[in-house]
Amino acid sequence: MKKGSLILAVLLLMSLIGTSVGEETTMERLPDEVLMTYYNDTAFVGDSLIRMFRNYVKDRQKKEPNFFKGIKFYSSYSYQLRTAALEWVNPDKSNLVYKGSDEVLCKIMKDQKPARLFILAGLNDNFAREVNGVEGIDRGMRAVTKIMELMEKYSPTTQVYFFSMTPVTQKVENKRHIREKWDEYNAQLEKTCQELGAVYVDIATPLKDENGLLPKSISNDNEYHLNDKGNAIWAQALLDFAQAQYEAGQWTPAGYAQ
Amino acid sequence: MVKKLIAICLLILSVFALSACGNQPKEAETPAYTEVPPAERMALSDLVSSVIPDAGDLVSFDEEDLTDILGIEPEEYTEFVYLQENGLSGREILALRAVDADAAGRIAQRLENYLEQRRKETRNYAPEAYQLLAAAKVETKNLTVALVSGENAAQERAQLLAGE
Repeated sequence: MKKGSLILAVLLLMSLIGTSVGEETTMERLPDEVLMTYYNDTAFVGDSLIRMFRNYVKDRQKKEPNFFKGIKFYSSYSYQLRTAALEWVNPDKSNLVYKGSDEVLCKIMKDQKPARLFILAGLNDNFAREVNGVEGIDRGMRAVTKIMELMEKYSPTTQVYFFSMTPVTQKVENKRHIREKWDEYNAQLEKTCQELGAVYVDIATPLKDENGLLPKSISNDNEYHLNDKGNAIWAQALLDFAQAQYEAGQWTPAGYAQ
Repeated sequence: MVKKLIAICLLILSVFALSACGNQPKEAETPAYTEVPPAERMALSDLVSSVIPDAGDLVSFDEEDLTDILGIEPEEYTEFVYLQENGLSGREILALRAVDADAAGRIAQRLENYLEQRRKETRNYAPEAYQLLAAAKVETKNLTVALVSGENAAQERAQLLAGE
């Protein structure tokens, strides 16, 4: 009996030790309003997707004044990644507008010097095909490299982030067959970001359905653009990203010593 | 005889009294328009809400956006409203009360430039938005400058500026 009790106690003790060893320690999920402070002193730059996300954020701020309030948005409808890589304004391009005039990304950042810069562009560059013998993805990575060079020159203290290319709907896929190409592009973008000291932010995955496409239900044009539901997913992805940065020790919000 | 004389005198007096009534001086003409002193004008945001039926549904931009996007500085105006539809429709309202005539002139130029940039970015990308923006105008009355883009832009702009 005594031996049996002893064995039972040892087994119980071992199971308790096993549980605590096998259990991962997880950090607390920060409140959304704290996670949003990751985006204080931040610029979001890009095409019509950024423009519509800006309007979504402004709309939410009617009832939630602190909703991503630290972000400044700069956008143009047909903005290209290759335009973001220019050092001087090309008037024939769809340019960003800053203080009433066309302006290039690097000069805006030189003036603003945000702590973080997030870029979403590439949709209008047609990186799905080869141009002048240069493969689309290569053209994209050349633009990314140039942007990093310009940011180093004009605003070296700004951390640069590149959003993944976002998915398209079935309607667009039927016409253009670009889903795989853009998955390839995103994989290469992630690799290039690591090489150049930029940060890759995957917002494609949370927007995709089981077929790897943008569902009609979260698109406002059944092509590329997001409706409020889609933009809400994007906003959630930003919060999740900030949480991941916190857990990785890359960021400590005020009042949360790690 | 005396009675007759008295009656005639009374008759003459009556005639004089009646003719005097017809010679009243004209009332001073009221002017067709009376300028409302600034203190009595409706706040611009309230005016826009009363004239623009969908104002509450539009996205509102702040002072920083006015500077960052249009290059209009806060010291140039006393009030502003900057609204845009949350989508690609081209529906937009910008109204500012400038501090003086020079500032009104600069603001009007900035709005013209902005309108041109919006037309350029929508021309091939969002044809329906381009249609609205192509028909939009910037108009100034006294110190108030307005840009309205929408299906009833001309009427809304006229109503906004009517009392300015």
